[in-house]
Amino acid sequence: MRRWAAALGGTALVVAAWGIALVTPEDAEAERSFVVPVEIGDRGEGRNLAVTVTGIRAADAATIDGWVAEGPWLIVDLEAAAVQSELRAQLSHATLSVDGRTFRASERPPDSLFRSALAVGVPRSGSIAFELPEEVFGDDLAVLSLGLSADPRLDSLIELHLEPSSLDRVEEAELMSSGWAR
Amino acid sequence: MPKRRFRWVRVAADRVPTKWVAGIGIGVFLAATAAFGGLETVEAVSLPELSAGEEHRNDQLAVTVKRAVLIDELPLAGVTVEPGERVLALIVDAENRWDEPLPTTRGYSLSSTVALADHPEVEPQGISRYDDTTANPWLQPGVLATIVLAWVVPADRHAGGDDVRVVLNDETLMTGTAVISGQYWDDPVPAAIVTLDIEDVGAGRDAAEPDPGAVGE
Repeated sequence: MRRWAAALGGTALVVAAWGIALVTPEDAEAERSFVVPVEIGDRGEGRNLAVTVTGIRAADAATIDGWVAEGPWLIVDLEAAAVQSELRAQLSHATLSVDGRTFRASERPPDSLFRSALAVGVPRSGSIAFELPEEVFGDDLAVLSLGLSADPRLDSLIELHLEPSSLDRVEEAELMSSGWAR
Repeated sequence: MPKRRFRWVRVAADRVPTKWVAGIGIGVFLAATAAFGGLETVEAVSLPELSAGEEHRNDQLAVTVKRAVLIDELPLAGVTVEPGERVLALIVDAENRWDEPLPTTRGYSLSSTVALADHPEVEPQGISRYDDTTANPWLQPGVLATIVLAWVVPADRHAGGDDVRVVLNDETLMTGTAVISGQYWDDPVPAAIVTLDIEDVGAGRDAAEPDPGAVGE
Protein backbone atom coordinates (compact mmCIF):
# COMPACT_ATOMS: atom_id res chain seq x y z
CA MET A 1 0.00 0.00 0.00
CA ARG A 2 1.22 3.43 -0.83
CA ARG A 3 2.18 5.73 1.97
CA TRP A 4 -0.39 8.40 1.08
CA ALA A 5 -3.15 5.81 1.00
CA ALA A 6 -2.36 4.68 4.54
CA ALA A 7 -2.27 8.28 5.79
CA LEU A 8 -5.56 9.08 4.08
CA GLY A 9 -7.19 5.93 5.46
CA GLY A 10 -5.95 6.73 8.96
CA THR A 11 -7.28 10.28 8.78
CA ALA A 12 -10.64 9.03 7.51
CA LEU A 13 -10.88 6.59 10.44
CA VAL A 14 -10.09 9.34 12.98
CA VAL A 15 -12.74 11.60 11.44
CA ALA A 16 -15.27 8.76 11.45
CA ALA A 17 -14.53 8.00 15.13
CA TRP A 18 -14.98 11.68 15.99
CA GLY A 19 -18.31 11.74 14.13
CA ILE A 20 -19.54 8.66 15.97
CA ALA A 21 -18.53 10.18 19.32
CA LEU A 22 -20.55 13.27 18.39
CA VAL A 23 -23.74 11.45 17.47
CA THR A 24 -23.67 8.90 20.31
CA PRO A 25 -26.56 9.74 22.68
CA GLU A 26 -25.64 10.32 26.32
CA ASP A 27 -26.74 7.93 29.03
CA ALA A 28 -29.41 10.37 30.17
CA GLU A 29 -30.75 10.45 26.64
CA ALA A 30 -31.09 6.69 26.57
CA GLU A 31 -33.32 6.71 29.64
CA ARG A 32 -35.31 9.84 28.89
CA SER A 33 -39.03 9.95 29.69
CA PHE A 34 -41.64 9.81 26.95
CA VAL A 35 -43.29 13.21 27.17
CA VAL A 36 -46.95 13.70 26.28
CA PRO A 37 -47.63 17.46 26.00
CA VAL A 38 -51.13 18.61 26.97
CA GLU A 39 -53.10 21.85 27.32
CA ILE A 40 -55.65 22.66 30.01
CA GLY A 41 -58.81 20.70 29.24
CA ASP A 42 -57.09 18.21 26.90
CA ARG A 43 -56.80 14.56 27.74
CA GLY A 44 -53.23 13.27 27.46
CA GLU A 45 -52.56 9.56 27.41
CA GLY A 46 -49.25 7.84 28.18
CA ARG A 47 -48.28 4.22 28.77
CA ASN A 48 -50.56 3.62 31.74
CA LEU A 49 -51.73 7.09 32.66
CA ALA A 50 -54.40 9.33 31.17
CA VAL A 51 -54.73 12.84 32.61
CA THR A 52 -56.94 15.83 31.96
CA VAL A 53 -55.88 19.00 33.75
CA THR A 54 -59.16 20.82 34.37
CA GLY A 55 -57.92 23.92 36.13
CA ILE A 56 -55.02 25.75 37.74
CA ARG A 57 -55.48 28.13 40.66
CA ALA A 58 -53.23 30.27 42.83
CA ALA A 59 -54.01 31.08 46.46
CA ASP A 60 -52.41 32.52 49.59
CA ALA A 61 -53.80 29.68 51.67
CA ALA A 62 -55.01 26.19 50.82
CA THR A 63 -57.64 24.27 52.70
CA ILE A 64 -59.39 20.90 52.69
CA ASP A 65 -61.18 18.85 55.36
CA GLY A 66 -60.40 21.33 58.13
CA TRP A 67 -56.71 21.58 57.25
CA VAL A 68 -55.57 25.12 56.43
CA ALA A 69 -52.07 26.16 55.48
CA GLU A 70 -50.50 29.42 54.42
CA GLY A 71 -48.60 29.16 51.16
CA PRO A 72 -48.62 30.59 48.59
CA TRP A 73 -50.02 27.57 46.81
CA LEU A 74 -50.53 26.56 43.22
CA ILE A 75 -53.42 24.13 42.99
CA VAL A 76 -53.92 21.85 40.00
CA ASP A 77 -57.35 20.30 39.48
CA LEU A 78 -57.29 17.19 37.36
CA GLU A 79 -58.85 13.92 36.32
CA ALA A 80 -56.60 10.91 36.14
CA ALA A 81 -57.05 7.26 35.23
CA ALA A 82 -54.89 4.22 34.55
CA VAL A 83 -54.96 2.84 31.01
CA GLN A 84 -53.88 -0.80 31.09
CA SER A 85 -53.32 -2.00 34.64
CA GLU A 86 -54.03 -0.98 38.20
CA LEU A 87 -50.80 -2.55 39.38
CA ARG A 88 -48.61 0.27 40.76
CA ALA A 89 -50.95 2.78 39.14
CA GLN A 90 -50.49 5.71 41.50
CA LEU A 91 -49.89 9.32 40.68
CA SER A 92 -46.48 9.19 42.38
CA HIS A 93 -44.67 11.74 40.26
CA ALA A 94 -45.99 15.30 40.31
CA THR A 95 -43.45 18.08 39.92
CA LEU A 96 -43.45 21.71 38.88
CA SER A 97 -40.26 23.03 37.29
CA VAL A 98 -39.74 26.77 37.32
CA ASP A 99 -36.57 28.60 36.36
CA GLY A 100 -34.21 25.70 37.07
CA ARG A 101 -35.85 24.70 40.33
CA THR A 102 -38.06 21.66 40.82
CA PHE A 103 -40.91 21.53 43.30
CA ARG A 104 -42.72 18.40 44.37
CA ALA A 105 -46.44 18.20 44.99
CA SER A 106 -47.10 18.70 48.68
CA GLU A 107 -47.74 15.71 50.92
CA ARG A 108 -49.36 18.06 53.46
CA PRO A 109 -53.03 18.22 52.36
CA PRO A 110 -54.92 15.35 54.02
CA ASP A 111 -56.79 14.66 50.77
CA SER A 112 -55.06 15.00 47.42
CA LEU A 113 -54.65 12.99 44.23
CA PHE A 114 -50.88 13.00 44.74
CA ARG A 115 -49.76 9.41 45.36
CA SER A 116 -53.35 8.19 45.24
CA ALA A 117 -54.32 4.97 43.46
CA LEU A 118 -55.88 5.14 39.99
CA ALA A 119 -58.41 2.85 38.35
CA VAL A 120 -58.39 1.59 34.78
CA GLY A 121 -60.71 3.52 32.51
CA VAL A 122 -62.68 5.33 35.23
CA PRO A 123 -61.07 8.70 36.01
CA ARG A 124 -60.59 9.97 39.56
CA SER A 125 -60.93 13.69 40.02
CA GLY A 126 -59.29 15.87 42.64
CA SER A 127 -56.43 18.27 43.19
CA ILE A 128 -52.73 18.34 43.84
CA ALA A 129 -51.11 21.33 45.53
CA PHE A 130 -47.66 22.86 45.23
CA GLU A 131 -46.25 24.97 48.08
CA LEU A 132 -44.06 27.57 46.39
CA PRO A 133 -41.92 30.58 47.23
CA GLU A 134 -43.45 33.93 46.37
CA GLU A 135 -41.13 34.68 43.41
CA VAL A 136 -42.43 31.74 41.39
CA PHE A 137 -45.71 33.60 40.87
CA GLY A 138 -43.80 36.25 38.91
CA ASP A 139 -42.40 33.72 36.42
CA ASP A 140 -43.73 33.32 32.92
CA LEU A 141 -43.14 29.63 32.45
CA ALA A 142 -43.64 26.60 34.67
CA VAL A 143 -43.72 22.99 33.55
CA LEU A 144 -46.05 20.61 35.35
CA SER A 145 -45.13 16.96 34.88
CA LEU A 146 -47.18 14.01 36.02
CA GLY A 147 -46.23 10.35 36.00
CA LEU A 148 -46.77 7.04 37.72
CA SER A 149 -43.34 6.37 39.14
CA ALA A 150 -41.38 8.62 41.49
CA ASP A 151 -38.49 7.79 39.17
CA PRO A 152 -39.74 9.14 35.84
CA ARG A 153 -37.08 7.62 33.61
CA LEU A 154 -38.25 5.52 30.66
CA ASP A 155 -41.94 6.02 31.40
CA SER A 156 -44.57 8.38 30.08
CA LEU A 157 -44.83 11.85 31.57
CA ILE A 158 -47.81 14.08 30.96
CA GLU A 159 -46.48 17.64 30.66
CA LEU A 160 -48.29 20.94 30.76
CA HIS A 161 -46.75 24.38 30.26
CA LEU A 162 -48.36 27.16 32.27
CA GLU A 163 -47.78 30.80 33.09
CA PRO A 164 -47.77 31.41 36.87
CA SER A 165 -47.64 35.20 36.45
CA SER A 166 -51.00 35.21 34.66
CA LEU A 167 -52.89 33.41 37.46
CA ASP A 168 -55.36 35.35 39.60
CA ARG A 169 -54.39 34.93 43.25
CA VAL A 170 -57.24 34.36 45.67
CA GLU A 171 -56.95 34.55 49.46
CA GLU A 172 -57.97 31.02 50.17
CA ALA A 173 -58.73 28.09 47.89
CA GLU A 174 -60.15 24.71 48.73
CA LEU A 175 -58.70 21.60 47.11
CA MET A 176 -61.24 19.39 45.34
CA SER A 177 -62.13 16.28 47.32
CA SER A 178 -60.86 13.19 45.58
CA GLY A 179 -63.64 11.18 44.01
CA TRP A 180 -64.90 9.61 40.82
CA ALA A 181 -64.92 12.09 37.98
CA ARG A 182 -68.40 11.10 36.75
CA MET B 1 18.65 -5.20 18.84
CA PRO B 2 16.79 -4.37 22.04
CA LYS B 3 19.50 -5.73 24.32
CA ARG B 4 22.13 -3.38 23.08
CA ARG B 5 19.77 -0.45 22.92
CA PHE B 6 18.82 -0.70 26.60
CA ARG B 7 22.21 -1.58 27.99
CA TRP B 8 22.72 1.97 29.25
CA VAL B 9 19.74 1.53 31.60
CA ARG B 10 21.47 -1.30 33.37
CA VAL B 11 24.77 0.59 33.49
CA ALA B 12 23.02 3.60 34.99
CA ALA B 13 21.11 1.45 37.50
CA ASP B 14 24.35 -0.16 38.67
CA ARG B 15 25.80 3.23 39.45
CA VAL B 16 22.95 4.24 41.77
CA PRO B 17 24.36 4.12 45.32
CA THR B 18 21.72 1.79 46.81
CA LYS B 19 23.31 2.17 50.24
CA TRP B 20 21.95 5.70 50.37
CA VAL B 21 18.43 4.91 49.25
CA ALA B 22 17.07 4.42 52.77
CA GLY B 23 18.73 7.60 53.97
CA ILE B 24 17.42 9.62 51.07
CA GLY B 25 13.90 8.19 51.60
CA ILE B 26 13.91 9.16 55.27
CA GLY B 27 15.23 12.61 54.40
CA VAL B 28 12.44 13.17 51.87
CA PHE B 29 9.83 11.94 54.37
CA LEU B 30 11.08 14.26 57.10
CA ALA B 31 11.25 17.21 54.72
CA ALA B 32 7.66 16.56 53.57
CA THR B 33 6.47 16.25 57.16
CA ALA B 34 8.23 19.49 58.09
CA ALA B 35 6.64 21.21 55.11
CA PHE B 36 3.18 20.31 56.49
CA GLY B 37 3.99 21.61 59.95
CA GLY B 38 5.98 18.78 61.49
CA LEU B 39 4.69 16.04 63.78
CA GLU B 40 2.66 18.43 65.98
CA THR B 41 -0.96 17.52 66.59
CA VAL B 42 -3.19 19.43 64.24
CA GLU B 43 -5.05 22.14 66.09
CA ALA B 44 -8.79 21.44 66.07
CA VAL B 45 -10.63 23.90 63.84
CA SER B 46 -12.86 25.91 66.13
CA LEU B 47 -16.42 26.03 64.84
CA PRO B 48 -18.50 29.20 64.81
CA GLU B 49 -20.57 29.41 67.99
CA LEU B 50 -24.20 30.45 67.50
CA SER B 51 -26.99 31.07 69.95
CA ALA B 52 -30.73 30.46 69.69
CA GLY B 53 -32.26 32.24 66.70
CA GLU B 54 -29.03 32.64 64.75
CA GLU B 55 -28.98 31.21 61.27
CA HIS B 56 -26.46 28.82 59.74
CA ARG B 57 -26.45 28.82 55.96
CA ASN B 58 -24.80 26.55 53.40
CA ASP B 59 -25.55 25.57 49.80
CA GLN B 60 -28.06 22.94 50.90
CA LEU B 61 -29.97 24.50 53.79
CA ALA B 62 -30.46 27.57 55.92
CA VAL B 63 -31.09 26.37 59.47
CA THR B 64 -32.06 28.41 62.53
CA VAL B 65 -32.40 26.54 65.79
CA LYS B 66 -34.98 28.52 67.76
CA ARG B 67 -35.79 26.60 70.92
CA ALA B 68 -34.91 23.45 72.81
CA VAL B 69 -37.76 21.92 74.75
CA LEU B 70 -37.87 19.03 77.20
CA ILE B 71 -41.27 17.40 77.29
CA ASP B 72 -42.77 14.21 78.74
CA GLU B 73 -44.02 12.88 75.43
CA LEU B 74 -44.61 14.06 71.89
CA PRO B 75 -46.42 11.29 70.00
CA LEU B 76 -47.43 13.33 66.97
CA ALA B 77 -43.82 14.28 66.37
CA GLY B 78 -43.29 10.58 65.73
CA VAL B 79 -41.59 9.49 68.95
CA THR B 80 -42.76 7.10 71.65
CA VAL B 81 -41.27 7.05 75.11
CA GLU B 82 -40.80 4.23 77.61
CA PRO B 83 -41.00 4.83 81.37
CA GLY B 84 -37.89 6.73 82.51
CA GLU B 85 -37.55 8.54 79.22
CA ARG B 86 -38.51 11.99 78.01
CA VAL B 87 -38.32 13.84 74.72
CA LEU B 88 -35.80 16.54 73.84
CA ALA B 89 -37.19 18.54 70.93
CA LEU B 90 -35.55 21.25 68.87
CA ILE B 91 -37.73 23.74 67.05
CA VAL B 92 -35.95 24.71 63.88
CA ASP B 93 -36.62 27.01 60.94
CA ALA B 94 -35.33 25.37 57.77
CA GLU B 95 -35.17 26.56 54.21
CA ASN B 96 -34.04 24.44 51.29
CA ARG B 97 -31.46 26.46 49.34
CA TRP B 98 -30.90 23.79 46.65
CA ASP B 99 -32.93 23.55 43.45
CA GLU B 100 -34.58 20.18 44.15
CA PRO B 101 -36.93 19.19 46.99
CA LEU B 102 -35.15 17.59 49.97
CA PRO B 103 -36.58 14.71 52.00
CA THR B 104 -36.11 14.73 55.78
CA THR B 105 -36.19 10.96 56.21
CA ARG B 106 -33.31 9.15 57.92
CA GLY B 107 -29.99 10.09 56.38
CA TYR B 108 -31.28 13.08 54.44
CA SER B 109 -31.07 16.85 54.95
CA LEU B 110 -32.16 17.78 58.51
CA SER B 111 -31.76 14.20 59.74
CA SER B 112 -28.07 14.16 58.98
CA THR B 113 -27.28 17.85 59.43
CA VAL B 114 -28.69 18.58 62.90
CA ALA B 115 -27.30 16.56 65.81
CA LEU B 116 -26.87 16.83 69.55
CA ALA B 117 -23.20 17.58 70.27
CA ASP B 118 -22.99 14.99 73.05
CA HIS B 119 -24.37 12.19 70.86
CA PRO B 120 -23.68 13.28 67.31
CA GLU B 121 -24.22 9.80 65.88
CA VAL B 122 -27.89 9.66 66.94
CA GLU B 123 -30.18 11.04 64.25
CA PRO B 124 -33.49 12.64 65.31
CA GLN B 125 -36.03 9.92 66.00
CA GLY B 126 -38.97 12.01 64.91
CA ILE B 127 -39.16 14.85 62.41
CA SER B 128 -42.39 16.68 61.75
CA ARG B 129 -43.76 20.07 60.85
CA TYR B 130 -44.58 22.39 63.73
CA ASP B 131 -47.80 23.69 62.15
CA ASP B 132 -49.66 20.61 60.92
CA THR B 133 -47.52 17.72 62.27
CA THR B 134 -46.83 16.28 58.80
CA ALA B 135 -44.24 13.56 59.50
CA ASN B 136 -40.96 13.63 57.59
CA PRO B 137 -42.01 16.59 55.47
CA TRP B 138 -40.27 17.40 52.20
CA LEU B 139 -38.49 20.75 52.10
CA GLN B 140 -39.39 22.58 48.90
CA PRO B 141 -36.79 24.92 47.39
CA GLY B 142 -37.02 28.44 48.79
CA VAL B 143 -39.91 27.64 51.14
CA LEU B 144 -39.35 28.26 54.85
CA ALA B 145 -40.72 25.61 57.20
CA THR B 146 -40.74 25.27 60.98
CA ILE B 147 -39.77 21.74 61.90
CA VAL B 148 -39.71 19.84 65.19
CA LEU B 149 -36.78 17.44 65.61
CA ALA B 150 -37.27 15.04 68.52
CA TRP B 151 -34.93 12.71 70.37
CA VAL B 152 -35.91 10.27 73.11
CA VAL B 153 -33.54 10.83 76.05
CA PRO B 154 -33.18 9.32 79.53
CA ALA B 155 -35.33 11.44 81.86
CA ASP B 156 -32.35 12.37 84.04
CA ARG B 157 -29.93 13.41 81.30
CA HIS B 158 -31.20 16.98 80.93
CA ALA B 159 -33.05 19.42 83.16
CA GLY B 160 -34.77 22.71 82.47
CA GLY B 161 -32.27 25.59 82.37
CA ASP B 162 -29.36 23.35 81.28
CA ASP B 163 -27.47 24.18 78.13
CA VAL B 164 -27.73 21.90 75.17
CA ARG B 165 -25.18 22.06 72.40
CA VAL B 166 -26.34 21.32 68.87
CA VAL B 167 -24.02 20.57 65.95
CA LEU B 168 -24.97 21.78 62.49
CA ASN B 169 -23.26 19.90 59.66
CA ASP B 170 -22.48 20.93 56.11
CA GLU B 171 -22.88 18.29 53.44
CA THR B 172 -21.39 17.90 49.97
CA LEU B 173 -23.42 17.49 46.79
CA MET B 174 -22.69 14.07 45.28
CA THR B 175 -23.51 12.82 41.81
CA GLY B 176 -24.49 9.18 41.67
CA THR B 177 -22.44 6.78 39.58
CA ALA B 178 -22.98 3.16 38.49
CA VAL B 179 -26.26 2.01 40.02
CA ILE B 180 -27.05 5.33 41.75
CA SER B 181 -28.68 7.95 39.60
CA GLY B 182 -29.10 11.65 40.20
CA GLN B 183 -27.62 13.94 42.83
CA TYR B 184 -27.80 13.87 46.62
CA TRP B 185 -26.16 15.46 49.67
CA ASP B 186 -23.90 13.36 51.84
CA ASP B 187 -20.73 13.35 53.92
CA PRO B 188 -21.81 15.57 56.85
CA VAL B 189 -19.00 17.64 58.41
CA PRO B 190 -19.55 19.79 61.55
CA ALA B 191 -19.78 23.46 60.59
CA ALA B 192 -21.34 25.29 63.53
CA ILE B 193 -22.35 24.83 67.16
CA VAL B 194 -25.55 26.27 68.60
CA THR B 195 -25.91 26.57 72.36
CA LEU B 196 -29.44 26.87 73.76
CA ASP B 197 -31.17 26.87 77.13
CA ILE B 198 -33.49 23.94 77.59
CA GLU B 199 -37.07 24.83 78.54
CA ASP B 200 -38.77 22.14 80.59
CA VAL B 201 -42.45 22.23 79.69
CA GLY B 202 -43.45 19.19 81.77
CA ALA B 203 -46.33 17.37 80.19
CA GLY B 204 -46.61 20.15 77.62
CA ARG B 205 -50.31 20.83 77.71
CA ASP B 206 -50.26 22.67 81.03
CA ALA B 207 -47.40 24.92 80.07
CA ALA B 208 -48.24 28.60 80.10
CA GLU B 209 -45.74 29.35 77.33
CA PRO B 210 -46.67 29.11 73.63
CA ASP B 211 -47.39 25.45 73.69
CA PRO B 212 -45.07 22.94 72.06
CA GLY B 213 -47.73 20.43 73.07
CA ALA B 214 -49.79 22.05 70.30
CA VAL B 215 -47.58 20.05 67.99
CA GLY B 216 -49.15 16.95 69.44
CA GLU B 217 -52.72 18.10 69.37
